[in-house]
Amino acid sequence: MAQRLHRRVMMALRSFLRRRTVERELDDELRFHLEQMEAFAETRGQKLAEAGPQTPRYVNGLDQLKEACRDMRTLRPLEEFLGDLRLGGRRLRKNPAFTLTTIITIALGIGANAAIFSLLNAVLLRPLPGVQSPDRLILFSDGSFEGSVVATTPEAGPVAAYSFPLYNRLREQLQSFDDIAAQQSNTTGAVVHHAAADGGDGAPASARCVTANYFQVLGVDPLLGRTFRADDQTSPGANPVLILSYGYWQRRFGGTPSIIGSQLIVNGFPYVVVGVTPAHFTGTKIGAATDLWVPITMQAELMRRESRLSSGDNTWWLLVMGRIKRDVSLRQAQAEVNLALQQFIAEAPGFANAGAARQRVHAELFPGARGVSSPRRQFGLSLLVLMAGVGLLLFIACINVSHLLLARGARRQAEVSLQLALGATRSRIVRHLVTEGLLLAVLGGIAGLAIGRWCTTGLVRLASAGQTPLVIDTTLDMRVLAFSAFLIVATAVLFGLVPAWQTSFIHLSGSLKAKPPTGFGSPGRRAYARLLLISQVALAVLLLVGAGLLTQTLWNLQEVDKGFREDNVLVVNLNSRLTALSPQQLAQVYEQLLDRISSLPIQSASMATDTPLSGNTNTTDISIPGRPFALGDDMEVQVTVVTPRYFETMGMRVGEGRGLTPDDRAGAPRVTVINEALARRFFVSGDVLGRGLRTGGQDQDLTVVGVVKNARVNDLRSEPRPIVYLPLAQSPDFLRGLQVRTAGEPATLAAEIRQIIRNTNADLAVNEVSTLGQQVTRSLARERLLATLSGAFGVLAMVLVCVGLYGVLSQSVAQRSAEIGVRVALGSTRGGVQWLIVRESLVVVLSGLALGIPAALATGKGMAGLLFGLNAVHPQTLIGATAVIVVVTLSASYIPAWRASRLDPMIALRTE
Amino acid sequence: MMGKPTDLLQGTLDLLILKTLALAPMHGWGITLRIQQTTGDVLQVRPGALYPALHRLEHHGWIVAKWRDTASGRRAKYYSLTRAGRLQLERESEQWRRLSSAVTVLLETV
Repeated sequence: MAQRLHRRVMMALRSFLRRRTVERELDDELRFHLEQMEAFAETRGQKLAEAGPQTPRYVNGLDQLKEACRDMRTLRPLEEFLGDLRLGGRRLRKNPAFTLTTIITIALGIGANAAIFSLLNAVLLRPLPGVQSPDRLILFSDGSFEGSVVATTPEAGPVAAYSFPLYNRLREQLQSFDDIAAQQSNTTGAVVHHAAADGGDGAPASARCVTANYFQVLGVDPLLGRTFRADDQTSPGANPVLILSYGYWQRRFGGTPSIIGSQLIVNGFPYVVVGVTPAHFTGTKIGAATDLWVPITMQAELMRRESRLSSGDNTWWLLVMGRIKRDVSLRQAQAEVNLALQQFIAEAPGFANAGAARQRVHAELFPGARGVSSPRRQFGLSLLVLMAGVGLLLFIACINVSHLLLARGARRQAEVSLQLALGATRSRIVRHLVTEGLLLAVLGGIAGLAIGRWCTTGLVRLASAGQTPLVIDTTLDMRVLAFSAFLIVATAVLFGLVPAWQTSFIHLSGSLKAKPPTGFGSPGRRAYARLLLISQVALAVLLLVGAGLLTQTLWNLQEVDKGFREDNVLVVNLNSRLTALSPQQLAQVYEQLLDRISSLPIQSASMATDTPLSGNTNTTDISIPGRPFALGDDMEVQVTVVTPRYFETMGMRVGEGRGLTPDDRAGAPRVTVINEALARRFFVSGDVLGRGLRTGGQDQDLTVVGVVKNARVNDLRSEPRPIVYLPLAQSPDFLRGLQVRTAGEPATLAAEIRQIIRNTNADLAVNEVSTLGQQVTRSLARERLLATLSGAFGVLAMVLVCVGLYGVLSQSVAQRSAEIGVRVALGSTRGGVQWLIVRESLVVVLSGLALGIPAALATGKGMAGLLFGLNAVHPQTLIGATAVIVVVTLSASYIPAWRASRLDPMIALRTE
Repeated sequence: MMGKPTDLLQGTLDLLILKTLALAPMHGWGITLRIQQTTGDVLQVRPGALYPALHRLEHHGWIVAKWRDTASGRRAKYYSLTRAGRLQLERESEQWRRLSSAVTVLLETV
């Protein structure tokens, strides 16, 4: 049976594709018949005229005969579809204004959707690029990222880290996995020198330590050279080999293959390049590309820190991932990992006094197919909200196209009536119109895809304004294409089917005789148009309220009391670890540096453990003499080591007591300044100054000499955490942040300050120079992206709604001109006539609002996680959105209303 | 998949063509002649009916066409019966016999 169908299709295809051959054969066959017939007639001695029914007389309709033969051969549906398509194309060409408007509307709608979806796909859906069978990859987390046993890094987030001894124990013990690998949870900034290429003064590369089996566990094969082998992880410091990422290899070394085997100096230590990874592999963290990998045994050399590889080490700095065995479930693996984890912690000496933190340790395994994605957390909800918004926009656009088609359908009534009268079936006519809709949708969709590609690039750039450039793979894949195709078909059906169906319902009597009507025709059609308008208004309410909430959020964040002044401050991000100096020695370097900078025209300069708003923080547990320790108390606070003029430079206010001064030097009484949050949590108000406080690991109390006002130095969103500020002279440390409050425009001093840093110590690496204002702007990248896009959606929605409303009302006026004429003739005033039309739009708008506002309230709740400083139910925003809609729609309806009131009753009556 | 129900006329023509081709492959004109001769000029097939029927039967896969030289050296399209065509011929013959006997019975009893 299948065979037969196959043959039929082949035959039809042959008829279709090799039309000319088939035609010629048909010709030949029939000519042969005629010739034979003539010859036969002659042999019988008959004259052709009397020859009977098989004479050419009966073959007069040769063309009809051929057509009949052709009919027998073809697959009708295909032919008809192509016919419909040709007809549709012809009709669209005949009406370029309509066609263009429609295609642009659809293209914008689909383009915006494709763009947001591409981002969503790259960030949320796409499996880890370049990794073999990613579905068996499992990420480990210990589920507690608040206790002191776990290193919390802003980059790693809830994927809490593991220590090297724990990793080793797990690797030996676990049966559920083929193998497990570990990598450093965040990257290390690496200064890379290459003797042959350049001096290495560029931006630092991001490097990562990984276990030697890392690439095997991921199933990544090298593009060049090799990946790490077991013998690349022998003993600390003994494996100076590295692997480059494709991107870095291209950027820095121009993709030259001779890089394999050559020597690179990374953070002062020589390594041999042994391999390059393939282009699509960018590491296991979506959005943050790694430039080079070194074996974990090189940790101390890479980080320029103490080694973390000893068997008793208690630094939790590794992310662990494993390849689960085929027949093992995630739950089984999780049980096994937790057992091992509890055992390890019970035995580990470092946990003897970890107290409550120990009980909190619990490993959570989750599928790692999509890798660790910080953009997923950062942008996940935002993208979903944007996707919903852009979907609504497409819906609104579809409704407008629907209006256009509906109006067109009405104008085409006569044509359709004629077709029906000539025997066309209703289904055929609906099919015509749907084909036309499909044609529009496909054309619009293709244009939309192009627009979408373009928008995606722009969006990535906009989103990358954050802390780190967003490295995500947004190339078109099947999922994006399928999604777009789905949108195209869905839009075609959405806007095409109902108008088509309605157009085909025509009463033959009457519509043929009458002139084509100018409006929407039947009352049913008008009701449908009104229904469309109502849903448009409702959707617009959703978009406007969303835009309002997000804009308000951005506004609130910009206006929040930061506790510091961001004007005129230059911020330098330094790496001091490459100087090979101890913190004690560095303290002098820092002093010298600040000294030299103060010769510039500045107000003050200071240094601190980290740059503001970088998200990097150091934390410690504190204890307070005389205050009983209760189990479950959260004693964790943030520690920031600063130089004396830090508060002045940052523009932070000292509320009580004093700030830090140069007199708080080594040997002087140990002091600290705390922030209000800490004072409020641990001390009695008014009894803070002079009290003692002890940070973890110290054997001496610090005296609180001052309380500064809370400042949102970590990020603008969260409430300030308790912070302990320590003077550098009394707690030497590696400092990363240099802040300079300038008299004028800070950026103008950037070059000079760089020069001073280089002159002070050539090994002080400058990671970045920016202004505090830029940091603030950057930290709001996501909020700005959301506010901008949702605002644009809101405006577009309003424009579309107005266009729709205007169109429908204009047609309504045209259609009711006779009625209006009668009313005017009977003494209705202009105002009365205008009210007639405005009332029509008012009904629509109010119904739309009645539907939209409850929906908007629900949506607001779904977005609560994105909001700042306002409730999801925000009356001002609701009222604002309502006001905008009422005002804008009423002004859109005023023009048709005004026109209606100007109708000359005589002319209006005569038109019927 | 059964063939489409055909009306009597068309079905009859199909039957005649299939039966004629069961003897030997033939071109359209040959079929015309053959039917005319065997029925003693009672049944005459017009090209307007014959050729669409041939193309339809080919479409159904009951017959296949091949270009061959005739005895006189002209190229002509020869049709021959397929296995499916032979089955179809049996079915249609059976149907025709039932129909004609029914009609005969009817005509004789009344």
